[in-house]
Amino acid sequence: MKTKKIMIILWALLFCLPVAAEERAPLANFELKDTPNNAGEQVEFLFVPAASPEEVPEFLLHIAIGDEPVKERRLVNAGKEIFLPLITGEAGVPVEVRVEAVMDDGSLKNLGTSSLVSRGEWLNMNSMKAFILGLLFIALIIFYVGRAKKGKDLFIRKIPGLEAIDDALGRATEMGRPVFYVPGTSSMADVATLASLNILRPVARQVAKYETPFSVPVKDPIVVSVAQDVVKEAYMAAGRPDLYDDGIAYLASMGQFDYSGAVSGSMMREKPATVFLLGMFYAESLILAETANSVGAIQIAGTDASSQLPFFIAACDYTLIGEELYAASAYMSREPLLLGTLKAQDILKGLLLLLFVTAIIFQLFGIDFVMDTFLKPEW
Amino acid sequence: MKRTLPLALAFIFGLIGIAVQIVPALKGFLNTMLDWMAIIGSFALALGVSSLTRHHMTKIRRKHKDMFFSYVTFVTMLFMMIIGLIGYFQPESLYQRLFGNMYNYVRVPLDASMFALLAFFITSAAYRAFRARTWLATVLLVAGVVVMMGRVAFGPFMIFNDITAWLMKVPTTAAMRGLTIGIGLGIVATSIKIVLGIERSYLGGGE
Repeated sequence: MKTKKIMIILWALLFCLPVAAEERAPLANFELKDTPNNAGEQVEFLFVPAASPEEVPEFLLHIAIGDEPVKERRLVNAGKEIFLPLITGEAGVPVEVRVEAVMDDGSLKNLGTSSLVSRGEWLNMNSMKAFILGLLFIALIIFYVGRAKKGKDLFIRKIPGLEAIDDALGRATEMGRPVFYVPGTSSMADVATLASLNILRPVARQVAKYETPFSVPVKDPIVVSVAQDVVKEAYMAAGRPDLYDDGIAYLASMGQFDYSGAVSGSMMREKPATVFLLGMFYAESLILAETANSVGAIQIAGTDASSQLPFFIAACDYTLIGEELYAASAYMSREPLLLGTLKAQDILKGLLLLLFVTAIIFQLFGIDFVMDTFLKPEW
Repeated sequence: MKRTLPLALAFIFGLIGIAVQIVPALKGFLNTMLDWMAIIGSFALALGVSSLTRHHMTKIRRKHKDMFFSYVTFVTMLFMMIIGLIGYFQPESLYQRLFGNMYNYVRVPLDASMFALLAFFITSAAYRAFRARTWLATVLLVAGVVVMMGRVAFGPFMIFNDITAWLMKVPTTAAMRGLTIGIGLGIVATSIKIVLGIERSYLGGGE
């Protein structure tokens, strides 16, 4: 009889077990995590609803960050995972999130609390691949600069746009018409502007040597003062400081289309024989190139703005495509230091190409190692 | 000193620029640097006005044949400056309305007109580029025609739409990616050259 009673109780427990288990199943899973690779200024709250929207239409979060007053936030249950970044501002800030389920009858059910203290990292591991690549690049530069200094011949292919500079300047001199140099429409913060100013120097030196009228209309005030310095030094290097005038490089205008209007107007009036359009350009690129073409000027253009390159290729006589703009300074000066860096750049490009091809071959065999380790971004 | 100080500054701030990408704790310093860039940029406005004034004053002094445009520049610049300043100190006044109207109904339409000129320039540049003189120009012409047809395709011409999609997705993307990688490396190379002081042309001289 006693055994029978025990058996009945066991059977009853067995039938009740799923009900009890169902009651214990969480309505949502959530976790506060420290955001990796930051200085502790942000943590992440990951929320995965487990209950259906009919059962729990929404959840209520009570978020406490440091000494700030507790904030409430409602999350509508769409059955989808929710990622919530929480700004702490700095490392060492305690964060606590208490979650309540708003049941279909409006009652609240406490689901628990997750908490942590924001933590900062010393290094951003996401940037490590780029950093290591940078170090490799510097090592290559040092190696090739050393070779170039020893007098080793470094082959550089011909760049038609740069080869044509001398002829274009000679043409302007013979025709007695000015040379215009437009160093892009961006600021000094743009590397393309710096690359353009690097080309300005040899151009200005040649112009000074030929005593050709020269004009450098600029859009950015800081670029004006740098361009004036570059032109002045170039005129002095050419032994013609007497020809230099601060008005050679001047601020034409600071607005995008005001600038293109001012420069186009100057081109129409002064009819330059040669126009350089080198640097960063936006929508004004074609206005300037076509105006130069309409006055019969030889145009040598170059930009790293890939959206403007087709316009330059269509409208200009010579175009420096992308990286040729950055190679111009080394190409024209033939200084061993600069040539060494150019060679290092080519070697790095070759290595990257090799890596891409290796990754493609490995991918064809279903091996992700090369792609995941070297080429996949971490963010 | 004139050369050493800028080189030293370029080196120090170049290294800081690299460090802020690697050490998260320095991110705040990056914001400070960006704030300083804005402050220096506002000072540069004075440099800009001075450069513009000097350029046009020289033209007027030398009685340049186009000095009329220099007068136009001075008159408009001073006019906008004066009514802008008076309007700033007298809000809701006639001057403020005049300044706003001059900006909205003179400057903005002029700006838009310059932008609109692009349509004509695109046509003339395309005409020159598409003249089938060489086989490369012919390829460009054929590709251009196919893409144009593909953009307005309907009915049986939808085949052009598919060809256009392929042209844009495969050869164009491949060429653009190659270009982007080259540009990226060029930017890194130029930046490293400037930080290490190898590239000095932007300072005016090589030595």
